Amino acid sequence: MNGGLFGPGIVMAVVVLAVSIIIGIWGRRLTRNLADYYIAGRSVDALNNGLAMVSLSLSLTTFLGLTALIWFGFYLAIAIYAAFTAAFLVMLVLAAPYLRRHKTFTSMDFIGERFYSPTLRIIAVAVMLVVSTLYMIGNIKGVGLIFELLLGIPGIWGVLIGGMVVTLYVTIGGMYGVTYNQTFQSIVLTFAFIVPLMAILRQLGVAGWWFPPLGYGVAVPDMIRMTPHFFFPFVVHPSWYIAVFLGSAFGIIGLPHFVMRYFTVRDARDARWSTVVCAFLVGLVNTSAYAMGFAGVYYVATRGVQIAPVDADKLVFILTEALTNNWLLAFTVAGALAAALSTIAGLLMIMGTGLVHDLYAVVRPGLSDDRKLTLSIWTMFGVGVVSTLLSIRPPEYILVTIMWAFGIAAASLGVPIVLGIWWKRATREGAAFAMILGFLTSFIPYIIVEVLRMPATIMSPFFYGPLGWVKLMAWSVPLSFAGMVVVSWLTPAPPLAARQQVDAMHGWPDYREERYQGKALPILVVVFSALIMWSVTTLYGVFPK
Amino acid sequence: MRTYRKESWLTLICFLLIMLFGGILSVFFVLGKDLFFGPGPAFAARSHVLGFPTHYFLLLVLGWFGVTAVGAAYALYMDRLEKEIEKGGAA
Repeated sequence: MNGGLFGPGIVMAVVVLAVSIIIGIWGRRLTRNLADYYIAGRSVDALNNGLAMVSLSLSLTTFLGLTALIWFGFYLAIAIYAAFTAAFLVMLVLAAPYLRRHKTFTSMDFIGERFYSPTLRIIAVAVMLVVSTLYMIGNIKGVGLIFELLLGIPGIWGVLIGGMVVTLYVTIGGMYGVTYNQTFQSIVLTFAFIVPLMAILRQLGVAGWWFPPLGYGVAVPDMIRMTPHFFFPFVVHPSWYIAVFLGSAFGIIGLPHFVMRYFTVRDARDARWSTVVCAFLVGLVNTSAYAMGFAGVYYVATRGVQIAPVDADKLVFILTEALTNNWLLAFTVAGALAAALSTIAGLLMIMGTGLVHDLYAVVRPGLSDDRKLTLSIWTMFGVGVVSTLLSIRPPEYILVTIMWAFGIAAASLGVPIVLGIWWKRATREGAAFAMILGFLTSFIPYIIVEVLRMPATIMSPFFYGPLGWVKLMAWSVPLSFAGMVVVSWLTPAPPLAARQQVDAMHGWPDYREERYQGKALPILVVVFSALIMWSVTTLYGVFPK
Repeated sequence: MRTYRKESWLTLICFLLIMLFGGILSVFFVLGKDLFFGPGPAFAARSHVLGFPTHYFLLLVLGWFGVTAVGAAYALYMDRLEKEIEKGGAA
């Protein structure tokens, strides 16, 4: 942490990187055909998939971004992550088992098939590339940060080494390598986060240190005395919380690297139970991360230590170094590295698959599976190299960039996927309208706020306050939903083959026209969309601006 | 159509519960500020559970155990309902 080489950290990092490559090579031996390479032959069981989803979900932001957000945002950060945990369950009830039954390889493939349009499939690939790149760059940047801060190695080497190792094992091992690596990384990161946290809480004199998620209640009175606003939920307008939920819930369905995990499981039952396993463990780590954020604020307030705002990202490591020993710090490094690698691997997998399976194979039909496999391996390698190079000049804030990725994915991909599963009348034209409108209404604001660095209030006076732009999701997602319903109603009904897919996705062996055709769903969607959009503009009497 | 309706209602109810536990709960804390906190500027939580202000405790527990329990109940019920769905026909 002081700029020199950190021996135990290097040992742990080398172990994690070496094991990842070994698992990748092992995954290669299990891979016999294209389905094995893309989706592990649809053979992954619920526990394995649940664990793989945990490490895919808990990216480096858990170690670097979340605690920093708690440092600045207190209750708001915790509300964001509670919505993120709940989002997995929304995926469970609205999408996961149905997508598994659809027998496609990716979200883009699903959109192309369900909406009988190769063009929409290509548009979905373009959106996937944007959201995956936003998600990826922050994580590769984080690997560089770990190497720089903890190992004393310049960040550029961290980016290059981390980027190349993950590219290597994804390319070699395909989905088998990625899945078993994610399972291994999930176990490492869970223990690497919770064990040092227990030691930190114990050092701070917190009696409930042995159960971090709920063990720090005893220190709450001190915190209220020193930092009373830590627990205030009313520093933002109520619609902010609605926006966070919409962005998380439909964002996770719209992010193709999350959805891809469901195409790897054996059946719909495994899809359901793997989500339950994942939500439980993600909740465990997230509630522990709240405790870590609490410990950071508490440590500074009680010990009179100063941590510069610029160092807020390093809070986990600062606390671990100050209050535990070098080996626990090294263990935390291993966990952070595992978290980053697993997420990057999932993203590389979907980007490589999307480019070959959903773009090249659509433009050049008739490709043999062997040719696709060879192309996929080289494409994933190329995507890995390009992403690594892009990460040399990354965005400033990791977590904020990922929140934008969620928002864009929710409005442009999440909405057509959900309506495509639950409403037979959803048409190609409606989906196209929702995808394009959703993308434009969330990506243009991203450019305005994050690239051009303009204040969010330039778009609407309602987007004021901490993370005020988040309220945009309470407009873009409902707008996409309502737009898709209205345009679908105004255009000819989908062909029978598309309607039959809906019954098949829900597990029906036969087709009945009256199922998933009722008027209640589209009416509810339009009414609730209008109410949510209106909520952003009102209630300022109760909650003064 | 009975099975189809069961599936639709179960999905709607679970979605609403997850939405409440995972996101909308905080809306009530903001709107019910006076109920959960005393008057400003020295706002103070009116009740505590395990040392945490009640609203914060509810967010922690429902945002983790609550949503997971809803998901587990949904998965259990769907395991059974799936058998009815697989019969097809008038189910």
